[in-house]
Amino acid sequence: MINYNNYPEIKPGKKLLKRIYVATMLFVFGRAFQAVSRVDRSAKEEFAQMPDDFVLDFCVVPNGPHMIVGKDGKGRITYLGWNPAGKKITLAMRIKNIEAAMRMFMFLESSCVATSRDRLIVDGDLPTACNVLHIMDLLEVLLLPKFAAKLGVKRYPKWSQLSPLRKWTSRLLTYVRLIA
Amino acid sequence: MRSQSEYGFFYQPKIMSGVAAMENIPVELDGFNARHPFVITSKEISSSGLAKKFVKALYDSNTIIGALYDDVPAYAGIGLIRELAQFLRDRGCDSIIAIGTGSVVDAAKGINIIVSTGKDVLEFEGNNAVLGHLKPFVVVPTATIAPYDLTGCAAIEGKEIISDYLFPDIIAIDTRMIRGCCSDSMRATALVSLTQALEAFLSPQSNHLTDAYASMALRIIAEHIVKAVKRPRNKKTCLAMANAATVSAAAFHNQLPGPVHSLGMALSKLTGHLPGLCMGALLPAALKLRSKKKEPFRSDLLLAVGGADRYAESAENDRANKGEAALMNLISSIPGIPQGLSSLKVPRHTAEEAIALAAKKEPALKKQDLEEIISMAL
Amino acid sequence: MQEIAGTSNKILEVDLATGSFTVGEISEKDRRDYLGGKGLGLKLLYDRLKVGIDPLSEENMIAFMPGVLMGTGAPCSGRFEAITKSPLTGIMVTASCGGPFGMALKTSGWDALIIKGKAKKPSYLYIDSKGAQLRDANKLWGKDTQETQTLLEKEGSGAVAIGPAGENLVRFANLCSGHRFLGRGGMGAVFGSKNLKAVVAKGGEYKIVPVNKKKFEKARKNLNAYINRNSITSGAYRNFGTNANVNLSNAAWILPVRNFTGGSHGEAHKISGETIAEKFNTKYHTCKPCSILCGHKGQFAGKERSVPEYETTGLMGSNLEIFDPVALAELNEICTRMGMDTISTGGTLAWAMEATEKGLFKSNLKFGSTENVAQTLKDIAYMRGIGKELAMGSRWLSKKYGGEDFAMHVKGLELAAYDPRGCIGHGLSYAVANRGACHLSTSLFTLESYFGMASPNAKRGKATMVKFFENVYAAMNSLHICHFTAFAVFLEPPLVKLTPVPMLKLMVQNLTPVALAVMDISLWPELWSGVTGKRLGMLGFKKIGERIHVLERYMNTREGISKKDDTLPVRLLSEPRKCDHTGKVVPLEWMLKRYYKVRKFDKNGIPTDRLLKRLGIEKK
Repeated sequence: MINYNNYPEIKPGKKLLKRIYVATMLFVFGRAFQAVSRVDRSAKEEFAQMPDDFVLDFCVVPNGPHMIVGKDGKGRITYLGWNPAGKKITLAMRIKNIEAAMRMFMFLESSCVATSRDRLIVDGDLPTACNVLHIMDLLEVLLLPKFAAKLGVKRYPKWSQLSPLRKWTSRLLTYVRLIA
Repeated sequence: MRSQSEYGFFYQPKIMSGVAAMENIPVELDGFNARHPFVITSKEISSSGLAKKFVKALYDSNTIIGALYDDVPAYAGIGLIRELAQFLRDRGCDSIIAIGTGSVVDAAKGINIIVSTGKDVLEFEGNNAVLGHLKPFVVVPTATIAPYDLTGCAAIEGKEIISDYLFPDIIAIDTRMIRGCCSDSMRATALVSLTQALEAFLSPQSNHLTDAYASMALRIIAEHIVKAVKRPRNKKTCLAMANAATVSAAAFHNQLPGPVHSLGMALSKLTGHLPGLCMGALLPAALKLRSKKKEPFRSDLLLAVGGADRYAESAENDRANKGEAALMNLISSIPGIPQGLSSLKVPRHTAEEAIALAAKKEPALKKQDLEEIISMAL
Repeated sequence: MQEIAGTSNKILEVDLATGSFTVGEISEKDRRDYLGGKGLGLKLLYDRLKVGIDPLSEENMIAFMPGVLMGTGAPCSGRFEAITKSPLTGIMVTASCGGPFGMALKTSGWDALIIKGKAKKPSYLYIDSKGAQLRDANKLWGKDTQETQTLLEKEGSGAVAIGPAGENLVRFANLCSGHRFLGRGGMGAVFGSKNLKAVVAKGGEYKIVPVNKKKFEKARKNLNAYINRNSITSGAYRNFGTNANVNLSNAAWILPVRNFTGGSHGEAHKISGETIAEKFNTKYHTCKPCSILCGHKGQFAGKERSVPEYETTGLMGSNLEIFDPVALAELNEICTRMGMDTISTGGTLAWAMEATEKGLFKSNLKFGSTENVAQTLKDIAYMRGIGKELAMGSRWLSKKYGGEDFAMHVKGLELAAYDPRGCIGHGLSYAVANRGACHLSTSLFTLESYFGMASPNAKRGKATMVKFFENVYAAMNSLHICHFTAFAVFLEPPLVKLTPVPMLKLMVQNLTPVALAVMDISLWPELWSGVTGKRLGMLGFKKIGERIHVLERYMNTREGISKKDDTLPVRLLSEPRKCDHTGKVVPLEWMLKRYYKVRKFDKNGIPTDRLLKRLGIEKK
């Protein structure tokens, strides 16, 4: 006879530190989304392609953290906080677990590799999701030093694609807007 | 030999392989509307800390493990399977996760049949007796994974239950779980994978899809098998071998088992040696028999075993012969492979019993072939 | 009458195919290295037997070895040993018996009898001092063990015979001499496969006298005194037979109940030695000569029957949940007459009952019911109906029908009536014993569960204990003297007798090698020394024991035995018992690793070349 008491139910534990890290990163990226949409030319183009009711929920399933970014009434990209409640999400990009999120935000895997390794679930318009990924890559290029960003993006832009002048201007302005 | 264009083929599981593969299980189970899995594993796995790693992988999810039963022995009897099924029901679990290989996976399949159909598992002996979807079933393989475990076959109390519905729904091959413990077990496991992939590849019933899977499995195995046996704790080779097992499972399930597999299983049952060792001892003999009977090898064997360069270098007529030579070379280069049945100390009378057993189980096999393989291996 | 001083050293080798015989000689070296009995028999077969043969083929041989002490008047020395390759396990099997055949063989002037080949028609072998003669057994074929011996009574003073079970190749058929048996491993089937019904020896042609009479007499007297003083040999076993173990085992939770699912049972007292002695008017019914007198017979429902031994009571009684002593005596009688090992029969029946319960096997057997059991026993002996399959033993059955987790055997030999979850050292001993699940290779349960001299649940030191007792008992079985003299030899010397038990336990458990090294077992080597006139000390005795044990192990590894076979049934390794709320199972892997280390085997359980060389075993 099996003694049931020897095999108790196991409730999942918490990974608090990882959650805090990912939440912080999402907060920074959310703010950076907003910032970059106002300073960088190519980001503006990407955002322009998105529909007007665009609200992105970039999150880790099942319990968050979330990053909500969307267009406001004037069509400007705004960071809408970490609570999806009451918001009409048009595009949900869910990372399947906190470990995958950690790998993405510690730049061990680029968003592209993560997608190929089936770590993301996209719920919504796929072209828009591609736009978001482009912007994510751009953000990494702008926010991080080259050695870190190289790990995180699919292809680090060449000079011809992103001149140092433009890169440094955008980087500076994004940081200023991010912090301010 | 041409592969057939008219066929049926079935392969079901969602496979996740690589770093942090286990972490995906909660989300995937959610897709089946299951959040309360019943986990079974063996004492060795739990005592080597792998079960703990699994539990940790499920942190930060909504999945509550109904019970982690870590006492499945190397032989899971019907009594245990029934008790575990009752346990699962009592805990109200909605899915099953098996961490491990062999008896653990078989037991999980048995439990799944009982809890999903409400009937006893022995009623389903034979081919395609299980009809209808079962509860979501996840396999987290460990180092000793053989293709057999990942198919729709379950061996319970020596009886075989085969059904498409028995396939695992999710296979999570995680780098943390598949590291081998020692050369001996790795060798035995790798030889099972090699045998099953090879027999699927060379089988007369092969079709386009089994070819695709079997040749890919052979390519991975040919590349990694020697290193896997030499360095059983190397993550990359272990992952590759586990993947090879998973890939060849697709080919294996869709064909009749070959003579080496059947004889190896029978011998293993009679002598207690690991099935892989018995198959390894028989494999060269079976290949020799094939060339003795002048049954040509396929030319793309060279592509699978020798690599694209050698394939491209060789003339079309030569490829079959070179493929055979490359295969024999590969087999003999596996460190510590048993040299015939005498090195396993299998007496003739036991080998003869094995022939009878294999012939009874797989009536499609020619008894004369089996006898010749055995006499060559002795 | 002619006299033999010590040993005759003559081997009689009979080829049944031709009926011819040759006479050989036991070399001085072999005698010194292997003493006699079991050890020497193994060595003789090691030199003669081919590897990998089918035990039931004509290539198999069987050796009979009367003990060195036999005929000298040493206490409890009326025993002989038989050695062959077992059809049940496929490896070497040795068995010991207290029947009259040993004495008859020895006093016909032979120190060893080796039988090979296969007779063309049913025959029996007649042996006297001149040699052997193959005689037609037409009249004997089909007769049971007792009838056969009665018919042969006039031809010699002792016979060993098979019953119908042996004739029909029941894999656990035994050989019967008088009312004692060469029980385990299916020697009866080997006889059957050779078309040999019986061997009868004329006997009484020679008288055996010890070479060093003074030394021998001294040792003999001491041992007799010990035996008569010891509470087991002169008390429990003398009064109640081996069934005195029932109550002890029941209290220690090592009694097999319901195919080893429980360790004790409320009704066990009904079949205990004490109850049987009280109710059934028991009398002595023993080996000859004997000073312990453990064998008994009694009046069961008006019929005179042998009192079942403890193993029979355990395996065919409590293990099948049959607690009716009369029924048990009846079943025992059937096994006696048919010539079947009661341990293996009980184990196989228990498997069949459980498999039936679980729906794996079809039979009309049921736990706790004596109905159909007697009929099934006869069916097994004659290989009829389901008996045809049950006759193959539990390993074969479980491989065919499933249920390997509750097929209680090791290496094919069914477990004796001690549940190792209550005495884990004994579990190790079962797993590594050479002939399979043998309770006599160490009998560690006595130390762990009966006398409280070792902790039954401690893993530490068990490997060393198992090694020590295996060596000592292998040497003891080569003398050959009764196993039960060990109680007297171990417990009666002053050092053990005067030390309080808790102190002993502390020593044995924590300083195992030291405690075992100071145990005085010099009486056994002294007896051998007295008979043969050769010098033998205690250390030499233990080393010879090691040599014999390792030789047997090595012979088995040549047949394919390795670590994979040194295991216990799954039930003992993973399934706690109902009676035991602590849920203990046998931690075999841990102990096994240490056992190989102390034994100097390699990791796979194979004796290393260095060990073989040290012991002087020639590798083949």
